[in-house]
Amino acid sequence: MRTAVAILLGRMARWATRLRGGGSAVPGRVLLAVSPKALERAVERMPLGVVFVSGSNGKSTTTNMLVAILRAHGVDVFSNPSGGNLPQGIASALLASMPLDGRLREEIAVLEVDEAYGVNLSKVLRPSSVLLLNVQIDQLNRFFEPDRVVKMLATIAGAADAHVVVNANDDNLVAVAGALTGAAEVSYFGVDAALLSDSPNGLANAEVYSAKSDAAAPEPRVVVERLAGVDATVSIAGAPVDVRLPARGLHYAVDVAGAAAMAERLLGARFRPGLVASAMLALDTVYGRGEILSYNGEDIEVIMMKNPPSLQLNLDYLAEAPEQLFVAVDEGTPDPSWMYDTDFSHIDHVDIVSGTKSWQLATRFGYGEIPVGRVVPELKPALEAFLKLPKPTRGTKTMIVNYEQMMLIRKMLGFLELENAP
Amino acid sequence: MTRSLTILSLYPRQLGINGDSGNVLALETRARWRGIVVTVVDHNVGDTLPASVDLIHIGSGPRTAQLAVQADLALITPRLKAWKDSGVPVLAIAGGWQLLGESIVDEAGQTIAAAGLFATTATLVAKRAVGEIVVSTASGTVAGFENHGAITRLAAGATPLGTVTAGFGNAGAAASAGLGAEGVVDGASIGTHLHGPFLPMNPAWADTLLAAALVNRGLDSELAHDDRLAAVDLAASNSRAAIAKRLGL
Repeated sequence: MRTAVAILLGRMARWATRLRGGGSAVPGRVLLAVSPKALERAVERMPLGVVFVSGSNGKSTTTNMLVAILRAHGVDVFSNPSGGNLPQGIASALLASMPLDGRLREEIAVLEVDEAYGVNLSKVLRPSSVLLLNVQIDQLNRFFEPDRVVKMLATIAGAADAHVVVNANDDNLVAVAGALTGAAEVSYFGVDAALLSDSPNGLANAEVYSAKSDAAAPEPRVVVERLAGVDATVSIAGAPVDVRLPARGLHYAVDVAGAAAMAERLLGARFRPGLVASAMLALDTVYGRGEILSYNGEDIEVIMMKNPPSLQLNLDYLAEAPEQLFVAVDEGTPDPSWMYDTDFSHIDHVDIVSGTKSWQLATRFGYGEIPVGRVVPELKPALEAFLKLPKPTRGTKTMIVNYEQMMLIRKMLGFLELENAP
Repeated sequence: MTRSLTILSLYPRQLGINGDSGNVLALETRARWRGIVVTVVDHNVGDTLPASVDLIHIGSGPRTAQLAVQADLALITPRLKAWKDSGVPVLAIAGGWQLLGESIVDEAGQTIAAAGLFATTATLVAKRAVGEIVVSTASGTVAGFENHGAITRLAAGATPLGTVTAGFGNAGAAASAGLGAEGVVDGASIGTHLHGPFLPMNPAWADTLLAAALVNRGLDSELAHDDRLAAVDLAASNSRAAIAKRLGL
């Protein structure tokens, strides 16, 4: 009874916030306040259990891929929308598809979880399987240091009793997997050694500072064997599969490998390697990751400056130095100092720099001897000036922006589109 | 006569997660733009030190990174001390500064001896001091970002880098309102919590360090200005102004 009331209250909150056009966390908060056990109850009888996807980078993309691969196999999957990886966001997502008895009808829940919140979520949702992507330098203003993230991911992995699937090229995670004592079976995914050494800055995973273990390097079941632009070959338990990536970059190929590795473990004999390829072809690009925006019939490629490793890999896999480049960063990136460790040799100039951190960016580019056209801290005039540039003679207009600027730019582009409508 | 300087960059692999390598880049670039030939020597665990150096940089890193370099640092400490005593400027940032202080007191209250280049002691605390910071110094107002979990005390007679106008500084997250100290200055050497990184964002201090290094080497300490320097210095000045504005100054 209490569950049904909580769900109805949550749905009302959901309906009210939608009318207002507001955030998606409120309904989840209502649900959790009225029925604290709602999350636990929702997933406890799912036949294939609960899968957590966590790590510093690629959570949304990999979750999206794993869901697509499972659905291609005919599995009914519940998942949280990309980026909604905090408890309230997950509760809000549950509300949307939860029957009044509070139990999800899908076969499996695949959830992207934040590294820190994942620790408590793992106690509540008790994931049977955990996919760990990487430990990278990320959000130091929040996590302070990578070691804390390693400990969080170790706790999350420790909750699993079926499968733990881990990136073999991440020394921190290999150590985490090696120290697991539970019932879960551990398997690995990774990148072919030669391909990895060709990557200008590797995979940018965090270093292990303490003594490395002398255990033999893990043998990955799923390996990225080849990469050319957005085309990659991934060998899954020995079977080579050609896949189309959502965007250029070795990190996207690694995400496919992780998703395929987890799917293969979950599905066992039902798994068909060929369905990974078709699932990747049908994949929607995750919001704001390797995305192409369209404005007045012109494509604009957006590169997210989420954190050091993702920016580095996105830069490393640029087809060529963009002819027209816009960079904007605001307080969503409280301390952009890490840009001094970024190798910007793949760009040769920036047309416009914007955002509250624009002068810090201009300082960085100055010391990198990368010419900057203009610094326009305010986004609207900066964006307008960039859009006014004639169409580039080759490639597309390119933007490197943090998440918060990306959201503002999307809003503004929609608005400008209306203004310019005939 | 060609002027040449050697910059020693200590443990860039371990003590480099906050972009502090930008300090070395700023020193190297600002010297090169003045026609000074610069060699940057990275020193990692197990490496052999060069015969002589003109500037020393150590960046910040997490506790585990500090522990990873501690044994090697102990081996090279006598050389570092001798260099610093002979007037070679040392720039030490946050965790690196802690390693070069007198001692580190960990959360369990245990005191670990440090290199002793600076007359400062860091007491590690659970609460982190994280955020933008503005400090008033002898070379003008400096700005940056701090992210540390320590209370840093200066020995009697030691001189701070400056006075905190907004932010936490040496007192850490427990800092009460009022003018606290930030950093330490000892001759030509500096310890500070500021990232940003410190020198690109605060170029007056970069030139102070370069001039001290040139004088120490017996070279002409003239540091001319040109358009490139004017451009980065304007960008840095506007960066500091933006931080001050965000902090309500």
